[in-house]
Amino acid sequence: MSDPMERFKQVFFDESAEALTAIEQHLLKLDLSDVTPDVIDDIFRSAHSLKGGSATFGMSRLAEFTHFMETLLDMIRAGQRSFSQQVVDCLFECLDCLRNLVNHYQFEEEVNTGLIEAVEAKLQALIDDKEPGTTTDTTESSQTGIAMGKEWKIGFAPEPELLLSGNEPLRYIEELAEMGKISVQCDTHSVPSLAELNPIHLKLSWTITLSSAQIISVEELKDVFLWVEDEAELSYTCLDQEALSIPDKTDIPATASEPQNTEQTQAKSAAKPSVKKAAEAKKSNQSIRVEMSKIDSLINLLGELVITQSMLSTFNNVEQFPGLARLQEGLGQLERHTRDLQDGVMQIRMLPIDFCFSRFPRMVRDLCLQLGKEIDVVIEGENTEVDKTVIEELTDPLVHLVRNSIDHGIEMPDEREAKGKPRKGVLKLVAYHRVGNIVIEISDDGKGLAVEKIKNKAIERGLIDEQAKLPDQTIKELIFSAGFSTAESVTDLSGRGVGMDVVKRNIQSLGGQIELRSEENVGTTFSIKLPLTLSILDGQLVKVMGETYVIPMLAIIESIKVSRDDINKIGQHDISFKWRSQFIPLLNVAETFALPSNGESIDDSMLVVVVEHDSHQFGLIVDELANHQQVVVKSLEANYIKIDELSGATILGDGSVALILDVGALVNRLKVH
Amino acid sequence: MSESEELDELKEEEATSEWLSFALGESSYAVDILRVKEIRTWEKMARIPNSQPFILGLINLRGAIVPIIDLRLRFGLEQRERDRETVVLVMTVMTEDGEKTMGIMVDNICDAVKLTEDDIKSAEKFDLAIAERFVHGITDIRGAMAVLLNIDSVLDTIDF
Amino acid sequence: MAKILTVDDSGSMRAMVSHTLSEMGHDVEEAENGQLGLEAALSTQFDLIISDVNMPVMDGITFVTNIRKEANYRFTPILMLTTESGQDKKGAGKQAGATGWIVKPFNPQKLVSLVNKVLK
Repeated sequence: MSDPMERFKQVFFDESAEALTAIEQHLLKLDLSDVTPDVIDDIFRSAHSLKGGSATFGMSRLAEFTHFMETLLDMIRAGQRSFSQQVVDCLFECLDCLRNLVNHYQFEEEVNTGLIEAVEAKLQALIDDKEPGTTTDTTESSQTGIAMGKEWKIGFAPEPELLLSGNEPLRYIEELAEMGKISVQCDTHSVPSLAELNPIHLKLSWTITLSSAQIISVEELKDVFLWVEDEAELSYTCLDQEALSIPDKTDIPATASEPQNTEQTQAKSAAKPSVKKAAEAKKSNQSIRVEMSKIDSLINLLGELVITQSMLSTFNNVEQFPGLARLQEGLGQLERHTRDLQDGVMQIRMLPIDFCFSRFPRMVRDLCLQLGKEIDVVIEGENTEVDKTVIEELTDPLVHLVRNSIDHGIEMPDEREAKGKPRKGVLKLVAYHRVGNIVIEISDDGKGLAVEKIKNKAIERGLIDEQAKLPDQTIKELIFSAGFSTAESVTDLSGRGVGMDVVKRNIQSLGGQIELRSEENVGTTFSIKLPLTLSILDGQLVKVMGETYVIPMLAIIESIKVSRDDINKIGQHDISFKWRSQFIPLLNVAETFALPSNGESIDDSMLVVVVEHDSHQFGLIVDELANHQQVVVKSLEANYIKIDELSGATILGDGSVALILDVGALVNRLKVH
Repeated sequence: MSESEELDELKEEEATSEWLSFALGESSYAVDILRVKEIRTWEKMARIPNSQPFILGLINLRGAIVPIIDLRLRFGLEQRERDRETVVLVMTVMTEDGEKTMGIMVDNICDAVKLTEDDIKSAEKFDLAIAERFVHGITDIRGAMAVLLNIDSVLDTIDF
Repeated sequence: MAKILTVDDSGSMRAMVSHTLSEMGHDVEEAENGQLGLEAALSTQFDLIISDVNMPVMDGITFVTNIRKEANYRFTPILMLTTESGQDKKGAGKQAGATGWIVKPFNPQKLVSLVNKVLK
């Protein structure tokens, strides 16, 4: 994007997204009985900016549409129209149109002409509904007559205060000079004596005779003085009128000698504006826009710095380097600063989860209208911060879960009443931090999961055996299985072919976990645990046959020494061991990765890292536990290919590369074998 | 000015390309010098589980994770103990998903030569023991045949 | 070369104005609202100020009114960015002390010619 205009457009698109969110937020929070001017101003301003930008960047359809919106909002602002429910509903629809139009210009999405025309008609109807006589028609009173000629005499008598608006009369005269030859007469008769002279009061006036090679219209001349037409007495007299074939108009005098008859623009007193102080000096959250790639390269650099720093810290032989003690002090400081810097840079990418949550009130409102349900949305912890990339990946699964709760969870108002519940259901979205992770809970007070129903369906689908004795929780979790859906009728809300299995997979691919709690007729809660960022991972370094691997801490339950005798083998393979009174499968990393063995270990115990995936535990056999540290995740695909069992690689303190294990993929490997 | 230098200068007038030649055993190969990012000595690599045998592992190239390919194994030659002359050429490779950086390990590097289009001959008639798509052509370097490699094919990730 | 301050809550507008004027060889500073514009204007002497009307925190009219009170800015040209529908704002802008206005939408060429009009 080297074309600056293209770059500005990009900024405009970002702004548009913000403006749309701002409007939506206001509309959702709006209390019609108490609409403050601030809110209307804010909504107006957002629409206004959209209009200004879109017109500037040649997005005519968007400019046209926002013009309608702006007109209506301006009338509301002026008190000519009230902020009615009808207006609110219409503005919500406007948002859909705006999104469509912005997407049209940004991503070439097709314009939904039908919708836009319909909404424009609604806006027009609301605009037309105004009290008669309050027309805001702003077209200037039409010019009387067309005056044209090559010779003009212009009278220019500015008000004494002209200089105080930063205007310089000579500029205008110079501009006339660009149109042709001029001769200027300066009238100094009102200039007072030197003693009384106030240098900032302009007491001069001019008469300029302009003769041009081209025909000049009075509009062109008025254009020159446009900015000062209210602050000066101006007269334009055409001296060669007869040279023109344009019919004579009464306001153009036949002779130049009678300036009294010339068209005059009297200084009018400008309408007194109510200069409003910003109601309250709202402390706006100041921010700047930065390209993601710039932050990413900063993070990469920082990764390098962390590595260099840890490399330096390995020089710790005091005998060899006598000055080391002092150096170490400095190194300690460097380490702390590096860590702070790293935290700081990571913070840049963090956004409040509100970026994701904020869409839900509107979505729920729309779905409720569609389904005839009544639901309150409660949001808590919307300021909890999480990495931008996580938010992006998280949005789809959350949308699905929320739709699911509304569609299958919360009952119809009558049904709720019959159950002795309030008619209005509650959908709760909660976010909070817990030890390096973000937890997001979506809960409803709906009908909960019906164990029997799920069980029957699962048997029907062949997911479980009819005879199987399964705990209730296990049965409930069957909704996460591929090809499972409890929807009795396929509405357009759910049943889009996206099942809970996809939601779960998405969450897992982000390195997260999803849990489910549900009680019949009380409600359902989905709890999602995710790392705060995808680019840094809290990892346990392990060594296997001299190679270093990273296991995500999120997956680790514990690391234990297991006596060889306690490991069940089939042939040469380690198969399982008893952990917390259950047999769990074992995976020998060296074997799985076909690492060249460096001779049979003589230890009589083995080190097992118990990890969990999908609520299933299994043990990874490793040689040695090394550091527990934060690692910067680097993709393997950047220069190589995706490897199933790995979620990426990282660079360690000594500059060497360590691979990050994908615990989920390793489990799948176990199942295959 | 020696005769060969004079010749070199003459050649510059025409469309020339520059190639970096190296050896694998008895054979000479060359790669387009513009694709060579840097030349490194051997360093410790992280082994990639279950990868093709010719993938030696991953190195850290100023923060980027870069795979290293043993060109001998890639060409079906036998593995050789690395020595002081063993080098890794870090190459720019054009792939379907864009530009990637990969390294190739070779026995040693010889020299850089300027070639005109006329210097590059078709390899069609020869059985070079490597896939045809790897070969750009052959040329004469100091009286011996050198195989000019098409590095994008040699390092095509489809084969990885 | 002149020192110019552009005050607009829309980053794309600011960027456009700033880029166009920088191309002309001017030294352009940006501010996001009237309050910040005021702060910028008080720490640097500008030769020209271009300000939007509708802005959060401090709108353009208030900004111009305030800046005109400063002795250093009594005669400095100030142009306001208005829309064709905001005719009343022109009056308010003039009342506050604006030198002139630029009607949105405008293209870079228009901006250049209007800026040249006030900067000799």
